[in-house]
Amino acid sequence: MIEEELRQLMLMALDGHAASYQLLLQQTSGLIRAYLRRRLVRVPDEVEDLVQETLLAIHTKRHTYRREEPFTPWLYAVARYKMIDCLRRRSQHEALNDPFDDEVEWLAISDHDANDSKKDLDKLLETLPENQRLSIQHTKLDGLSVAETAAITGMSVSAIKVSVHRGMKTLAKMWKEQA
Amino acid sequence: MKTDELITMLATGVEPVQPHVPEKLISKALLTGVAISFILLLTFYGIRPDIKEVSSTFPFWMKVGVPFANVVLGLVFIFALAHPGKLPKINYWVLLIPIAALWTWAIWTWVNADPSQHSEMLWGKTWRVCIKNIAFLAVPTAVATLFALRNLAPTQPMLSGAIAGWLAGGVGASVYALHCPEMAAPFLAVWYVLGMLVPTAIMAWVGNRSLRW
Repeated sequence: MIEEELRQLMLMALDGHAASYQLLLQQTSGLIRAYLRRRLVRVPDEVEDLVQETLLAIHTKRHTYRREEPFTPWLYAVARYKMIDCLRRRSQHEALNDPFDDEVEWLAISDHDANDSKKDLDKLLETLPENQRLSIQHTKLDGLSVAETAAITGMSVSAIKVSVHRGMKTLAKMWKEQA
Repeated sequence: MKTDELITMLATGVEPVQPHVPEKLISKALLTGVAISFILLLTFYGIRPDIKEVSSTFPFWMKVGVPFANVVLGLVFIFALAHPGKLPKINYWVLLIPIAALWTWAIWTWVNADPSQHSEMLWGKTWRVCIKNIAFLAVPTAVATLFALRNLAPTQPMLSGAIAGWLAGGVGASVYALHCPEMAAPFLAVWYVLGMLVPTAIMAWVGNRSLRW
């Protein structure tokens, strides 16, 4: 039942139907969240991040879904891969046990004397890779649409969406650590 | 960023996706690999001068056919591996069939030959360069397939890399067979197989590192 419904939405989405795609992502995000919650009981903090990572993966890898095949096995295989990849990273990170590694960047930033928040944000933005910085600047600060940003920067629409997401995540993290 | 915001952003102005993107990516990679490999063969090694005479013999067809079978089987598995949730319709041990056929032929030749010929059958005249040359001619296909896979979604990066390497090794070996003068089955059973295993091992390592998404 849900399979057939989602598959129809996916087929529409692959043809470029944005409303179907939005509905599909909303419905699948619920499924993925439930799937991950059942499995990541020990690291509940990771779940929402991972839901978003999976949604991004669904977006950037949607051309690997084959139209004549069922949708949910594809969906869960993507979610499962992202989960395993995340757990692998976590275990590597913990094995390295080098807490300073991640913090060097924001320590350097917080050395500077910054009074006003705009200036502060600019500095944080400067630390991002250029494609993320430009994507955020155009879409979030200058109020351009993703399509317009794509035209200006020459990046693909998908790449901009991914950059905005990654950049915003890094910014949020730096912001929190700086405060 | 809230999940709902992310969803709205992803959905806004979503572009249509062409069907059969993976098929196109993989076949383009294979064609590019084969073409470059063939150019490298002509540039560095040349085709053996007696190709016309040997091209109708059984050893020659085994020499080209076994690696070619690896390419075909490799494609079947790569295609499944590149799609999340898709299981190959055949088992992985099928990959061993061409090698088993080659080894059966080699052992049969070996036991039926006069022992004085054994050393010539195994080492031939070119064993020193065989592995190196096959691995070299596998490089274009290995690189091209790796790029194709990076644009797909392999959920088993190491295995996908290894199969891509096996496929590339098959291309390398069947192209190299057009130059290589060796015709003895034991030679092919050892050196050709090792030559194809080298890209397999390297690509398993590379895949494990670079095929994450």
